[in-house]
Amino acid sequence: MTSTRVTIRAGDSSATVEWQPDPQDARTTIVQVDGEREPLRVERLQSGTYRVTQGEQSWPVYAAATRDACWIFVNGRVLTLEVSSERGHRRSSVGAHEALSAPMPATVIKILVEAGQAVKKGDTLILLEAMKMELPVRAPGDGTVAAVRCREGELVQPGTALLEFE
Amino acid sequence: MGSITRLLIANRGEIARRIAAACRELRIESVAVYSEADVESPHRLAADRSVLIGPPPAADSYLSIGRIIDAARKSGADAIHPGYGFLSENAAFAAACEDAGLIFVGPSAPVIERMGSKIEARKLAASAGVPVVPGGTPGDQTDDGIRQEALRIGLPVLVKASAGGGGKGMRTVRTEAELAGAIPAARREALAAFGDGTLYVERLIDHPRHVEIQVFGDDRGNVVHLFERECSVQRRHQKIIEESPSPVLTPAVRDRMTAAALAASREVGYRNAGTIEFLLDGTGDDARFYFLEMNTRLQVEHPVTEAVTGVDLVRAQMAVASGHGLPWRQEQLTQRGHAIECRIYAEDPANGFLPQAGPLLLYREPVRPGVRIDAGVIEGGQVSVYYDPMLAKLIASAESRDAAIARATSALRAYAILGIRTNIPFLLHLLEHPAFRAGQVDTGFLDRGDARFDPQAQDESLPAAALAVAAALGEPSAAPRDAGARDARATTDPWELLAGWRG
Repeated sequence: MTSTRVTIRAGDSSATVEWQPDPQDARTTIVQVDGEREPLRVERLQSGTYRVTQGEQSWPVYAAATRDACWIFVNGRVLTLEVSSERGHRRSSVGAHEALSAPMPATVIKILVEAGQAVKKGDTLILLEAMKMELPVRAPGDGTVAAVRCREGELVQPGTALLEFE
Repeated sequence: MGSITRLLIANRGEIARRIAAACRELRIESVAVYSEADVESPHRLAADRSVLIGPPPAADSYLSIGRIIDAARKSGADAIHPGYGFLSENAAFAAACEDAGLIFVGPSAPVIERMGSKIEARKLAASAGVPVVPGGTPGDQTDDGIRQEALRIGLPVLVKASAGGGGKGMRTVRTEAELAGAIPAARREALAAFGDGTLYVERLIDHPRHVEIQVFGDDRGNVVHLFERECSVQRRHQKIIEESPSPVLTPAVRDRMTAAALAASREVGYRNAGTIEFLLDGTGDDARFYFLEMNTRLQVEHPVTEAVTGVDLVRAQMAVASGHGLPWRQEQLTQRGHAIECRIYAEDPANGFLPQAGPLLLYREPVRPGVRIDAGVIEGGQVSVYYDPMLAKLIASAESRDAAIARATSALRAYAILGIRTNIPFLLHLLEHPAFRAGQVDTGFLDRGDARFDPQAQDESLPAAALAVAAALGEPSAAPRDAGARDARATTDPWELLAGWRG
């Protein structure tokens, strides 16, 4: 049985992990985490619920996957891990662009700048409102507002550019 | 007044489910209302019937008096429970219920109106002999009018929505320069949250504690109190942890405070469940307290009182609304043990408490003795941006404060929520904070940064068990095959989108 090697990242930390199915038990995966003396056995119990054992120790673990990340709950901690195989990342990284977007569906309540205006890092450019809270959109650095792409009162979706910045 | 046979719950989330549960016990049919954003929400399924009342924005659904009264008529309800928030403290709504021949589970419209006006409520408290904090609602509601009033009262002041509580539309102003920004911001939030931008200005008492008394009255002139709740752990005036008893209230001050709460309630002729909030200044038998406001509704934190007194406040609300007398006499009520409530919010403590929205890929509540969870969500559901980000309340009760804290801590560590970030790491940080452990927390504790949540200080290690499951998730034999987890709607951590530009 061949094993598969993957890299797992969370923020600045990463680890290399090799896994292979347990030939005796279809519900179990055997995983060798880099730097661990003993392999870990991951047994799927029911939807999203796993039991991980390593020697005498065992942990209940909950997990759910999206296209981009694995959400894991273990020992009271929530981790979002990115798994990439040797063939490359599962996800394409988002390029750094200079369009500012809403972090969530929100209403634009005030636009405080106009195109061509010079702003300083941290200046509030746009006020959004979501969940009855005001969310200021601030300048990421010193620069100039190239274009305003939203209107006051508009309901904006995450990822949609509110403002171009240069 | 008459008996209730079918009750419409004019609310959503955990409180709607809690009221529906009380209805089942009382064999009252329940009717849920829901917006287009709540078609699949659990509160809809918790009731016997449900009525669609409008589009997602609350102003067109949960805050629409006309639509809710129509829903009550259409469904043949004979009573309405408003829950908390939304229309619960709206006198026009209570009056509209009465006009439609519906029993409103709460106080009368004139009482809501009177206590909802900060000026009237203060006058009333003062005439009942209860001390009040200097402040007022300026007749001139322009920026300049508010500003003049703030300067007359003397800085620091609080500028807040005259119409409601819950920290919405509230700003602390310490310098004259801050007034210019704070006034319009408070007004906008007040307008958005309560549909009324009228502002109130009040002297800020530094380092006060928030202690409130639960009161309950009936139509027969009986009023009782159900002791205090301490709600000093607040972030931006939003309560996060509440407990009873207060760790600092001495028996002498408790006696004075409960007597003051009863006096104010009697003065207004209060009926049904209400809460009188006080600012507590100082400790020991010499501590002073000031009337802050009266909440003429059931509170979010009512389970804390239920835990220490052993009563069911919602059940009692129904009894009183049906015209029965209070189910208890004062001398039957006692405060026993200790209870702590932690509010679980969909917000990311590691990123400025940014509210989170998205799918609950996995949601597992801890089940254990002494722990009650009132939740508005279920696994597979969506947390929308339209409403308050509170997902659930975890209430731990035990024989002592230390035991209740230990119970809450252990239960929070076993509370698995995946798909969106929650404030659980922050709650754990607070419960373990030495100042909280010692009961030395005032309402400014969090906003001063005394218990700053430092994401850098959090455990950054990658547990081998987590890595192993992440790796195995890619393996078909071990991976969950159910559509819910694999076919998750795109990643919904808004912070990832922010990360590109937020220096």
